[in-house]
Amino acid sequence: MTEPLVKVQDLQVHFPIQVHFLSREKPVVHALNGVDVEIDRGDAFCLVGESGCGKTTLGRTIMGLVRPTVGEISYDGERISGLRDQALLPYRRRMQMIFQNPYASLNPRMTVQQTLEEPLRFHKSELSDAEVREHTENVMVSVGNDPGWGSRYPHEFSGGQRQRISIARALMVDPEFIVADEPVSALDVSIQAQVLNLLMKVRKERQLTYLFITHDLSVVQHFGTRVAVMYLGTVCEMTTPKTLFATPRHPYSQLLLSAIPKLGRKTFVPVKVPGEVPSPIDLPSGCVFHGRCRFANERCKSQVPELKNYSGAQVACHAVEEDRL
Amino acid sequence: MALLEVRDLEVEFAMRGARLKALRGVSFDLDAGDRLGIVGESGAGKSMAAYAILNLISEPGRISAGSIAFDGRVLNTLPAEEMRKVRGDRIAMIFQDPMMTLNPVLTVGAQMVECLKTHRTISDGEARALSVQKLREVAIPSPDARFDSYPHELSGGLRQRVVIAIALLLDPAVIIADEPTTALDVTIQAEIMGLMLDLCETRGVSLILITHDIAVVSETTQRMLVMYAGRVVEQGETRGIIARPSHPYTRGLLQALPQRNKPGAELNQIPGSMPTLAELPPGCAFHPRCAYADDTCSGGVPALRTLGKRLVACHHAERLK
Amino acid sequence: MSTLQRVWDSNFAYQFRRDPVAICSALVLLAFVLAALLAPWIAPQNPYDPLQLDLMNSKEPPAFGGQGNPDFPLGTDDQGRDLLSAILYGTGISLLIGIFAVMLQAVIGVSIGLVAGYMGGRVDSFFMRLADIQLSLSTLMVAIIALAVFQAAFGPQRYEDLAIFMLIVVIGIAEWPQYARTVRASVLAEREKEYVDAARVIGLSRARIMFRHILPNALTPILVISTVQVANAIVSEAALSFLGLGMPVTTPSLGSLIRSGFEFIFSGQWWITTFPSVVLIVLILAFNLLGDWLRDALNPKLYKET
Repeated sequence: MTEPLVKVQDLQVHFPIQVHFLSREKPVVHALNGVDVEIDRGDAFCLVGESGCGKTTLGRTIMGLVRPTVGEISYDGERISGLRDQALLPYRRRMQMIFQNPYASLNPRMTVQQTLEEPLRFHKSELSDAEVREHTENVMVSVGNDPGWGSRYPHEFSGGQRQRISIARALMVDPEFIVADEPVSALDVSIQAQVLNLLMKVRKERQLTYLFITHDLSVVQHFGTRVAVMYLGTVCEMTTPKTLFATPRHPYSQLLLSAIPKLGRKTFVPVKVPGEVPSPIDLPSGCVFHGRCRFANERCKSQVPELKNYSGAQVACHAVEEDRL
Repeated sequence: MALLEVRDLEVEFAMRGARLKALRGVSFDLDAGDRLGIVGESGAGKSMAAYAILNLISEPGRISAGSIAFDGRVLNTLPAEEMRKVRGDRIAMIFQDPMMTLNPVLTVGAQMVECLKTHRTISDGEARALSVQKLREVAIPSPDARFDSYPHELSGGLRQRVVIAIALLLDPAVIIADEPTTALDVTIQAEIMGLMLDLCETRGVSLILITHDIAVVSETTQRMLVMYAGRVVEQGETRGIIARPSHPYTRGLLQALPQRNKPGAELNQIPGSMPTLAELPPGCAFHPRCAYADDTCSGGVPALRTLGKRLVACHHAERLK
Repeated sequence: MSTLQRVWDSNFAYQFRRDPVAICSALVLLAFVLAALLAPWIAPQNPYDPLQLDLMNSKEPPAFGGQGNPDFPLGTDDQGRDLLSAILYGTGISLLIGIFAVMLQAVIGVSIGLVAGYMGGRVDSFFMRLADIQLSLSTLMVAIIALAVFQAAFGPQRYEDLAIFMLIVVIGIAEWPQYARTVRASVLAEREKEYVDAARVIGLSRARIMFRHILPNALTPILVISTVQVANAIVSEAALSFLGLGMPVTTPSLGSLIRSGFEFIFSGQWWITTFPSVVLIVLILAFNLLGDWLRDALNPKLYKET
């Protein structure tokens, strides 16, 4: 096998919480607790999980927006975590990001043209004005936008149009890797389909690799080539969407799948989840899911499970390992 | 006679001298114990309908036509004082964001007791006992302790449970839930929806569920309304509509869902986006995005007409069969 | 659609057109600014030119009372200076000091607020404590001490030449925390928005993100406080001049005119102090009313699109 494009090893990210400056306590939020992920070239790698599971933090850390506390991130074989801003610049051209909220991700005081030109002029300052304009026009057309939008401001556009402008901005520097953080969850259903189609189209045309962060499993099933299910800052299961939907192994994956409302199901099937998601400030010992897991035993309470291979899936669960499910 | 009868409801907004109709010709009946879903994308007017039923539309908007009758009484002409008694007492509302309903500086208990004392003559002790009992009914762990918690001390799921407990305090006949689970995670959504259904069924409470999520509506309601640009485009039995939609918009919405498409294939998207109220196209508001549209569609607004067991507002509904 | 048409159609312009108070205060301000700018051409005499003054004309009452000299519509002061001309020129000086002092405040305050808000941490703590200290000393107290020291150090003659400059600097420096705090607050809000992350993902430098991306989005509150700050600066200047620490009587601002007339108020020459006072009050009122309106009009929470 060839080298993965993005390799994340034992990544931990802790955020200190602001407390009173005289206080002795220094509580931290454990956003990521030892995550190992490999994203191959051409993958549409989906990160799925509920709010607070660390999926967004993982994406932002890979993009260098958050500094890792422990661990290492490599891109195309080179270590990029902990690099200075200047040293990171060559990678910035190759990796881009699309954000969740189309109403906040475009600078309201900049025209569409200014927004799109900025990354290009910054990274390829050798281009002439005419070349920049031509490239902008090409990208606008390729994402289905009217090139005449350039002189207008973001507030004149609808959510779906703005999201297409954001996608165009990410494509301006011809990246090979794109982190898409919930790119369709703020959009209406009919617009979601448009944006998902666009993301699939540009992936095919440009041979892009995606890290697609979402809470919507139906999008994963449709869009992903690989998927990692996250819970409380750890990966519990990593496999292909097909395997996940056919045979979810980790108890949390099973829970998650059972909770999606099914179109056309005639009766409501209630889901029983004991307890609440624990606070990421005081992580439970052992497996982070043990407090809510029907299969938990003493070992789950004390020992952290590691991701292990089971035909076609990597699962971090003692119960799966001991075949207790 | 139905418990709640809404007839030709119309809401109008004054914007810079112009009058925009945010809601037009919404009519439906809700019987005791019925569950009705109102589905639509943002700006379709589905929340507006809920606010109008509770007479909560404020300036510059107003109910400009139609009537809302609850238990035989016409609500939209009631004086404010009378309306307040109905609201909360007989008809309760649950909002998307629990923090909108809960006052962050008061404990959960204080808000419940206040609500009880506004509508009932009740002693402090009884109010507390009743509140704790309601908290227990919505499956909040250690309700006695939670009674004295502040909203920010609770998780999102617990907060929404508290909101439901408050809505149930006065044993309402109708609960209007406006996107009650949109802000919540799927596992919590499943729990909360289960809880709401259970409570409605055991007490015979009617539910109006307003959401953008067709899948949730399909699982939980008997009848549904699909709204587009302020109008009802399709109305009828939920199961039938999901299985065989009669309006091109409903059909488009359903076919755009990833669940209805082959993995990896291009999704069946609806082109364009919903027009704003200020820029409604002539005729059927959906026609610029519709594959079936022809000159009749731009010529006249299709009336909501009976087609089999349901109501459809489309000139070409027969062609979808 | 032309730019002018777009401005006219904007919600901002629409709200302005519908608010008589905003229109009136804007018109009053415009009238004052025009009058001050055109003073050399419209004023009956040049109050700074001693050759045009005649002591024989001193303390003439206003012409409209029927007993004054029609050459001096608002009467004259104790040096025979035409009060109307003095007010026209004085308004200009007051406005000049107010506007330039506020520009100085804005430059210092906006830069500090932007850096403190974006960098956070120790830089933020340092500047904000500095602002606390500055705010705990009242503007007038700082100004009085500073100006008194300057006056003593330079001597009255040289001080008269430098007075405008000194007032601008002192009032400008004393009030920067207002801007720094306002800007910092909106930078903290803007910094969390995704367009800032998008700029960081491109790899832009901190300075570029701060000035090109965040600053333009933090400008609205600056505009709002600026109108009120100009009014405050003019009042501060008037107060300092009234105390004898501001503009000298030879080149009077509104404050020094009020002061020069104050000693005659009990001997019957009420007009010398009254007219400049009325002008000052109207000017400040217009600024504050316009500021209030701006705050309401630009507040996204008060105005919501349906």
